[in-house]
Amino acid sequence: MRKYITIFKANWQATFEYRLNFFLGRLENIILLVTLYFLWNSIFAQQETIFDYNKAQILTYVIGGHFLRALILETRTKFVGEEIYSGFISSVLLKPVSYFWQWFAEDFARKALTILTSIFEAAIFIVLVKPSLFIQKDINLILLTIVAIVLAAFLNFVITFTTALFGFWSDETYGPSFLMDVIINFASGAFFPLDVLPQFLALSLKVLPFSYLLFFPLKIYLGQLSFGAVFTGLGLQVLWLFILSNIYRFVWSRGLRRYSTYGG
Amino acid sequence: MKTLKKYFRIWWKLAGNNFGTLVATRLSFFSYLSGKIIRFVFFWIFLIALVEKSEVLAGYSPREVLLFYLVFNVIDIFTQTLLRGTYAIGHQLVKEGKFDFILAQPVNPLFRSVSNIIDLIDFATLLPLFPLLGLVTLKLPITPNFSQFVIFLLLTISGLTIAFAFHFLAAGIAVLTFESHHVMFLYRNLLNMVRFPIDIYPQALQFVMTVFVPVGVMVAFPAKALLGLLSWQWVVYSFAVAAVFLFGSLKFWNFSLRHYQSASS
Repeated sequence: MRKYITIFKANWQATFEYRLNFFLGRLENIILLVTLYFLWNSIFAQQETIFDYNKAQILTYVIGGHFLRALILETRTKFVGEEIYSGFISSVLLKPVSYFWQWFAEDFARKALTILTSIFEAAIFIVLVKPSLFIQKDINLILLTIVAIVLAAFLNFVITFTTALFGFWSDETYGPSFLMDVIINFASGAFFPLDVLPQFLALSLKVLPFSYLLFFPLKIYLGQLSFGAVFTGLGLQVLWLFILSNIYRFVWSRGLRRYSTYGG
Repeated sequence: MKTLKKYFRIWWKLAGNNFGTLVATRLSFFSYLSGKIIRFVFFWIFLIALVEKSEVLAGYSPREVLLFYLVFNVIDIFTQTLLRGTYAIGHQLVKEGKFDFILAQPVNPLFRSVSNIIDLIDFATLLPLFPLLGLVTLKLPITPNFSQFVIFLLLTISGLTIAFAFHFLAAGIAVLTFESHHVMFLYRNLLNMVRFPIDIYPQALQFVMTVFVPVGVMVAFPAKALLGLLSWQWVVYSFAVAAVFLFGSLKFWNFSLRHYQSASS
């Protein structure tokens, strides 16, 4: 465990080395927050409810989504593929660390900073704009939201890490990672609640693991799910985590079997 | 005319080279193409669902909102198709010393640098937009007349000119600082704000997007002109902004060339 904490600390420091890149990345999320806020604000100038959300709930979804994007979706695992096909992974395989958990520690270091900055950004935004927000008072729902968020963070990491393992078979890893990013961003509810979509599409997306990344935790927080639905959803998150972890292990073992490197 | 033919031949050659690279990397080609299509379709479905439920957005009908989205895509994708090379000037051309070879060629270095990568994947997604734009225009609550259509075309060209100017500015910054993707990143993020009608934003933000970073002029103005909502003063303003930006960006590019210091090649 100590070695992963050391990796975390090293990457935490490294994040501060590329400050401009980091802040530009945050700027993208701030601009998205501003855009979505004013879009929904404009919609609610005409009506009080839409898709069974009132203004406070939707704006809470938007701001909550901003925070959860930093916590759950923020990842650099697309570079795993490059590390594999460039041969860099060889040096890691020789070390007494798990490549998976090393990357998890590295990712978490970056996430830690983005979480802090996203809280700061959201706070500034709330102070400036003073949106009406929904505050969940049920401690049980808050705890269940936290559980769902933790599971979602692991789920997203496994999905994106497994996608990047494509590097064992091809040097064209950025394309599949880009495609997965696009799918995750939309299917997770990062831009809008999935209830907005036509019913058949929303139901199809709820079958996939992506809706459990952002949409599901936010629905719990907003109190729009019964306890039965919440526990079913948590169970499905665990099930998807189990399935995808096994897929990751399978892909990893197959990838390692065909991996070779040469040179010094 | 001879010069135009020459540059077209060079551009065609570069496009052919890029196509060859795409064909050799089929997985990337299909992944990027699929990702861009999915992104467009998802946003399209979201917009339709949203505006049909709400019936009006910042005073615009559903079809008018879709018009803004399509104009945004046409301008964004057209620019990305032709000027993708801007992103790579800093780290690929200048840092690796390849920019010196470009300067030695008998071709305009700005043209050669920004055309180094021609994104044919974006071109594939651009083509279906035109008939879609036509369809949405025909189904607008009030069909535009001929003069509105002409002004729309002219303002779209003006919008593209501003977009090109942004890219030329980024190219100049890349030559001086070896970094272009930061500026482009900022530009793309601000441009994404005008996916929707600019009227959803407060006046202060609209002012910023019209005067300081004229992304509103690029996208919202052509759409508004087609809807007959733009006064002649704003039309003239759009052309003036395009001219000033283009002139300024080209001046800056020349300045950056004069101060370019090659590391090695």
